[in-house]
Amino acid sequence: MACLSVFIYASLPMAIMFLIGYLLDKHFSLDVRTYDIVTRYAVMPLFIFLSLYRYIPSHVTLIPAAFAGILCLSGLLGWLLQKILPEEGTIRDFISPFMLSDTELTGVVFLILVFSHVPYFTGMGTPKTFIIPFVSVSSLLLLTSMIIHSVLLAGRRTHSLTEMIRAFFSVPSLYTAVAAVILRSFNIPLEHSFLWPVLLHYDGVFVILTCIMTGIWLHKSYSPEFKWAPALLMLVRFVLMLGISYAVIHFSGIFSPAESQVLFIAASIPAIIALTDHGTSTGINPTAAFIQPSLIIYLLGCPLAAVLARVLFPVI
Amino acid sequence: MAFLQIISNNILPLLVFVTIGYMLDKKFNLDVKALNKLTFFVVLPSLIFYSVYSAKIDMTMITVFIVGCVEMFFLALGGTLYGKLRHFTPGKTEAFKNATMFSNTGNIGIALVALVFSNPPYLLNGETPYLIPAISAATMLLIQMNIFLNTLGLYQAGKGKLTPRDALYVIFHMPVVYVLVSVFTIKFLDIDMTHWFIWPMFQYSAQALVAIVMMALGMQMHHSRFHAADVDAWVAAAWRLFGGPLIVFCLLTLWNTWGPGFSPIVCQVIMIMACVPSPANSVLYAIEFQNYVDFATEIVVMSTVASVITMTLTIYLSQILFPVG
Repeated sequence: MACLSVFIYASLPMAIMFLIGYLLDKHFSLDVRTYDIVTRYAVMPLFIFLSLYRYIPSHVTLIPAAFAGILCLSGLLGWLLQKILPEEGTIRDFISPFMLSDTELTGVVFLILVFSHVPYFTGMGTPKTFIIPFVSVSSLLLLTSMIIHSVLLAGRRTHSLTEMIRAFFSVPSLYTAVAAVILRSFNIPLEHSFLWPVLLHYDGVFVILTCIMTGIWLHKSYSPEFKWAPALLMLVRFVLMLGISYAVIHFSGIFSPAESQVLFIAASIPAIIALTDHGTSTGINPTAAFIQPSLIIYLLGCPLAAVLARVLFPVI
Repeated sequence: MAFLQIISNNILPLLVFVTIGYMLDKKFNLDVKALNKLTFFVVLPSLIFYSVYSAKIDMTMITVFIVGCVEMFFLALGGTLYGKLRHFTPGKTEAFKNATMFSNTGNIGIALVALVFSNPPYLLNGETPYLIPAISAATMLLIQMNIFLNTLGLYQAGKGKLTPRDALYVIFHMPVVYVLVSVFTIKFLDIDMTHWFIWPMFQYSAQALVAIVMMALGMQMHHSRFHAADVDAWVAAAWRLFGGPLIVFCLLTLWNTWGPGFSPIVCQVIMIMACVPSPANSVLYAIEFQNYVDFATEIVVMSTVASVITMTLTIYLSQILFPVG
């Protein structure tokens, strides 16, 4: 029942928004670059700023570090698998499917929808106030996966450590995150300034723009052909990520149950658009092969991860 | 002080969104039509659905709805006459009418009414007794504006470049018409949608409209050739900001003299909602049909900036012309 609730209240609305984006692109052949730039340079930075300004998690540096560790460990396992397994068809890269995550895009939307409905939200206060801490932690994970992607891309293109460091610092959301933490730490109020109404609107823009953009990307890169190798790979990734994230959270022992739940669920989120974007930029893998299995895991597997998170890290 | 709050909470944020859109387009040269499609097919229908569904429609305010329609008619008439006087092309006349008949009631109007009637001199022993009737009247005008802006406004924008039949064809291929029918049907059937799984998406989508539309306006401003000395644009802005309140003042005077009349609060609300600047949607419609886009952009920007002063004046005058008790 809990899994069905998460599917109905989180996966299904997102699937509908993906479908709307898909149909919009089918009819109008939209410029996804415009959506991408507006999202990455305006919407995401302001959304992250608002989330962190409202609430700074107690482990504001450890949470991104743990998530980065989980993603890098997963990437390493992907690399090892690549060494062990024979090359299958045209899949030449196991690192990006394992290391990247759509937490950098719609993953946060999934987390918002999960935590604002049953069985997580049970009616104390309003959903919007209840989810503030969860959104804040999710924003840190969003930032982490964006930076990881940016650095990986720079590394693949240039093989230069300097460029990778430059890529780290070229993510606009990093600066808004730091600004939010500084402003909140020094108790500099923004609520009565003209900027506050601006910031409040970006919640909705973030949710809608990322979901629609995902749908547009799905249309542009979708292939109806189902291949078993990428499907198995993404399933292995899903299971491995649950294991790795559980191990990191459990053995570190420093995260609160709420933080643990968010980390655990975020780790299960596969890369669909992140992978598509990466594949388009590097030309390494035929990304179309991963889209179907990743989408299925996202919509069906991640609700399972959400339910498991409640069981493994119960909030007392 | 209350008015400074309106500028701070409602006008300046709009200008911030516009600036964000402008700067992004300046750096990256974006495609405004991409955001337009999102607005027309996702965000705007969601906002209409959400706002009409959530509104507590008071049917005793139906005469307020009619006053809004009559005001719109006279503004359109003025626009048509001015267009004939200046020998406008049909397209330019429709762009003029779109920017003057309709107004930004959703973002600015409702917020303005809420703020005015929840502050002195409308406070009595810390209570706001006039707020509910004021919001009731304002909601009726908001619904009236939503209906006509997204049907007639769309038709007029298309008529400028297409035949009336083709313009109608375009309108009936937009979701807005069907959303209006659906939401009134659902309200009539008293179906509770607030617990449906899709309801949060309506809320987020409705919340997204202002930012997306104003960013698109900012992007368009970067593309447009903006002429601050365009007399026709200034006349349109003036007709919007002064013509609206003047027309409703005449209508209210007639209604109060020869009809059952409205309460002073409702009269003040109608005047305040009539002084709100041109809607950014008129620019988006102009972009969609490539109908005098620069002209539409000029009017929206000029009226929004000038409204900072004219709205103050209208609120003050409405209190003098229709004093409460």
